[in-house]
Amino acid sequence: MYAIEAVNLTKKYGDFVANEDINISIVKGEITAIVGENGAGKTTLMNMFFGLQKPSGGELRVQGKEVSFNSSLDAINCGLGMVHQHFKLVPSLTVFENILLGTEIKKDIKISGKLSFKSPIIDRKQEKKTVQKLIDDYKFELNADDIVENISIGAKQRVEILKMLYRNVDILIFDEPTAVLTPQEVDELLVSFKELKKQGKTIILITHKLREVLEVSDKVVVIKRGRVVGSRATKETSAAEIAKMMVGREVILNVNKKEKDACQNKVVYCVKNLCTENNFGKKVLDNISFEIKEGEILGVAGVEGNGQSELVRVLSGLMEATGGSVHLYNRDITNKWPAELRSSGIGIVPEDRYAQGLCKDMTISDNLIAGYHNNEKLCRHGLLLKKEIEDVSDSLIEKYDIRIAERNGNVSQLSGGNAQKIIVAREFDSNPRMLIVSQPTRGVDIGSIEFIHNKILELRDENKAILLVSSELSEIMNLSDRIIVMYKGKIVGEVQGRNADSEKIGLMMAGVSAE
Amino acid sequence: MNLLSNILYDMIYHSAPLILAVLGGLFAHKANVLNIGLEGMMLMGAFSSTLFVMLTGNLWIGVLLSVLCTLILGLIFSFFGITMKSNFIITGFGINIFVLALSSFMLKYLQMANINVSSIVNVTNLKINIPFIKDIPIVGSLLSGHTLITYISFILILVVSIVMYKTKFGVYVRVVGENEEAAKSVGINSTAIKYAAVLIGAALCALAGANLAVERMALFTNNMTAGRGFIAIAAIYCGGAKPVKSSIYAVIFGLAKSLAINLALFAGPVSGLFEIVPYLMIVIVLFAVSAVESRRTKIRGFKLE
Repeated sequence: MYAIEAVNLTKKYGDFVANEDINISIVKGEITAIVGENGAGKTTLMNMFFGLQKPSGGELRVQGKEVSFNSSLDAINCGLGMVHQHFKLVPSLTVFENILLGTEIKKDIKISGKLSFKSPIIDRKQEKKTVQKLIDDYKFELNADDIVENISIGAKQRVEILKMLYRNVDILIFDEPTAVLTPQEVDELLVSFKELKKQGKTIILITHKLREVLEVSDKVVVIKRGRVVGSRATKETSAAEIAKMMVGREVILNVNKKEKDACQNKVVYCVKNLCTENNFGKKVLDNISFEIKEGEILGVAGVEGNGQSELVRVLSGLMEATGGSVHLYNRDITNKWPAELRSSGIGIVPEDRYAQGLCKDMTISDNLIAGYHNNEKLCRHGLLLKKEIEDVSDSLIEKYDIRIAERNGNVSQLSGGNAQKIIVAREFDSNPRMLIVSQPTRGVDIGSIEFIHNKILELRDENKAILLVSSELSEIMNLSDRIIVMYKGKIVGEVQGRNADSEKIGLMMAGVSAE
Repeated sequence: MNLLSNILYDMIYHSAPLILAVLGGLFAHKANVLNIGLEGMMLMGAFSSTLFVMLTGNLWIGVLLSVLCTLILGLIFSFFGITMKSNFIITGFGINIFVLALSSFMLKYLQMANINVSSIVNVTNLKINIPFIKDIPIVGSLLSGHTLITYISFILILVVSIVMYKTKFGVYVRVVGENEEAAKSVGINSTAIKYAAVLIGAALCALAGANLAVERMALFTNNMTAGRGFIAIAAIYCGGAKPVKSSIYAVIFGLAKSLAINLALFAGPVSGLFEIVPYLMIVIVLFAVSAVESRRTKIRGFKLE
C-alpha cells in the first residue's frame, strides 16, 4: 500500500494546464524528492495534496483510500502535514503559542474534588511544558519560550515541522525547505530528515537543488511543464541526468568565468562606515565599509535578514543612512535619491522585481525606459517621444531575448524570467559605471539564469564595477571576484572568490567569524 | 476648586462613550478590518435607543433593542466588507451616511426637532453615588455620581485586556490580523473571527450611543455623535490598538472636551470657539504621533509590506 497515490491528477486554470495526468506513488517510510524548474507545477501539485487547491480531474489516494480535501485541515486529519516555503507563523507570538495554535490548552477550574470545568483562559504554563517535551522528543534545538520574530530562519522552520508533528501527521511535505538556510542549517535539516524517516514518517521533498536530492532521497520524480517526465531510484541516477530531465537539454552547471586580477585597477565605488537603523531604532547596518574596483564583482553573502536588503536599499536611494559615506569616483553620493544615482551612472536591479523594479500594469516598453525617461532622446519639452521609445524597446527586447506576446502588453503577463530580463535590459544597457544587482535570478528559470549570469560577466569584462547581493550562495561563489559575508548588519569576513570554500562562508554566515 | 472638580467629572463623563467605541473598535482593528463605521454605529445606538425608549416606555428594553439594531448594522458591514470583500472605507462610509440619513429622515417623518424622553427617563436618578467615596473632595467627583454604562466602560478596559491577551478568542483575533494564512492553515475560521470582531465593536458602539443620548440627557438630537467615532479611531491608532494605551488617549480627548465646556463658561461671546478644542486636539495629537513614527523610519517613499 502506498502512503499517497496520485492517479491522472490534473489541475487547470481556465485554458492554462498547471498539472496534467500526474501519476505518482509515494512509498511509505521513504523520502521522495519531487524536482523541477520554477513554474514546472511542483507547488500546484503539493497544494492539491495538502487540500489548498482542488484538482480539476483525477484521483488522490491516501493510505489506499480515495480522498477529497476541502481544506488543509482535512489533509492534516488524514495524517498529511506541510512545511511551506513561506512560513505560516505569527511573528509576535512565542514558539509554543505558534505550535499549539488552533489547539490551545485551557485552564481547568476546580471546584472541590470532582467538579471541574474548562475556563476560557489559556493555560500558558501547561502549553509550554507540552511543547518543550515535544521538542525534546524529536531532539530539536529550540526554546519553547522564545518569540518567533527573534529566532533564526532555521529555528522557524523547526517550529513549522513541530507544528505538524504535534498534530500526529505521518506524511510530511516540504516545499523548498533549504532555499533560505545556511549550508550548515541545510546539513542539520538533512539529519532531521533521516531522524524522521527512522521514526517511520514518510517525507516528500520539493526542491530544485540537486545536492540535497542525491544526499537524502530514496526516489526522484522529475516534473516539467506540469507533467511527470521521469522517475528514478536515487542510487541509479546522477545530478547531470536529473538536470537534463528538468530542462530538456544539457545544462552547464558551472559558469565559465575568465580569471583576472583587478587588484591594480582604479577604485570605482567606495563605501565607508555606513550605518542605518530600522523603525525600532535597532542598527541594521553597522559600520559597513568596502571598495569595488573596475572590472570587479563584489559578492555579498549572508542568510536573508542580516542587513543585505537594507544595504541595497540605502545604496539605491530607497532608505536613508544615519552615518557613513558612499563615493563614486571620489564624488560624494551619500543619501542621494534614485534619480540622481541613475544620472551619476549607477544601474540598479532591485531585490523585489514587482515591488521596486517594475510597474506591473504598464506596458513593456514603458517599463523598459522607466527611470531613464528624462533622457533627451526619449523626452523633449516634457513630452515622451513614442516612436523613439518603441525603437529603444524593440532593440532591447531583441538584444536581451525577452520573450513577449506583444510589445504593448502588460508586464504582468510575463513569466518571472522575462520580467527580470526587462529590468536587466534597462539597467545594463544604460551604460552604467557601476551596478547594484540584488537577487538577479530569484524565481527565474534555468535558461534565464544562464543568460543573466553571462550578461553580468560581460559587463565585468567591460571593466564595470558590480555589487552582487544574493541569497543563493552558489550564485555568489560562481560569479564573484571577492565575497564579503554579512551577519547581523556587520561584515564578518571577506574571502577571495577564486578559492572560496562554502564551508568557511557558511560558518561566517552563521556568525562564526573567520579567525 | 469647584472648577477643577467639574473638569474632572466632565472628563470621565465625556470619556465613557469614547472608551466604549475604542474598546469595540480595537477588535476589528486587531483582526485587520478597518472599521470606519464606528461613527455610524454609535449614532445608530444613540438614535435607536432613544426611539425605542420612547416607544416601549422602558429604559433598559430600549437599550437592549438598540444593541440589536446596531448588531444588524454590524452584520451588514461584515457581509459587504468581509464576505463580499468590498472596500472597507467605502462600506464604512456607507454605514455612516446611511445612519445619519435614516435618523434625520425619521425625525422629519415624526415631525420632531429631536426625541425627548425625559418624561420616561429621569436622568438624575440614573447617577450612581458611591457611599463614602462621594464625600472625598476631588476623588469623589472623579469616581462617584456617574451612570451605569460609564462605570461599565471603565471596567471593560480590564476585561478587554484579558480577553485580548489571555483567551483563545483574543489570540485568534490577533493571529487573523497578523497572518491570516497562518490562521487558515491550522483551521481557524478567519471569516468568523472577523465577523465576531466587528460585532463586538457594534455592540459596544451601541452602548456608547445609548450612554450619550438616553442615559445622560434623555435626548436625541440630529447627528449628536458629532465625530466621536472618528475620534475613537484616532485614539485606537495613537494607542497602537492596545486596550489600556488607547483608552488613555480616549480619556485625553475626554479631557479636551471637558476643558472646552468648562472654560467656555468664562469666554462670554466667543464661547462657541471652544467647541473646536477637542477636534484641534485630535489634529495635534495625530500630527505628533505621525511625526514621531516617520522620524523613526529611514525608508523613503515606498511602503514596506
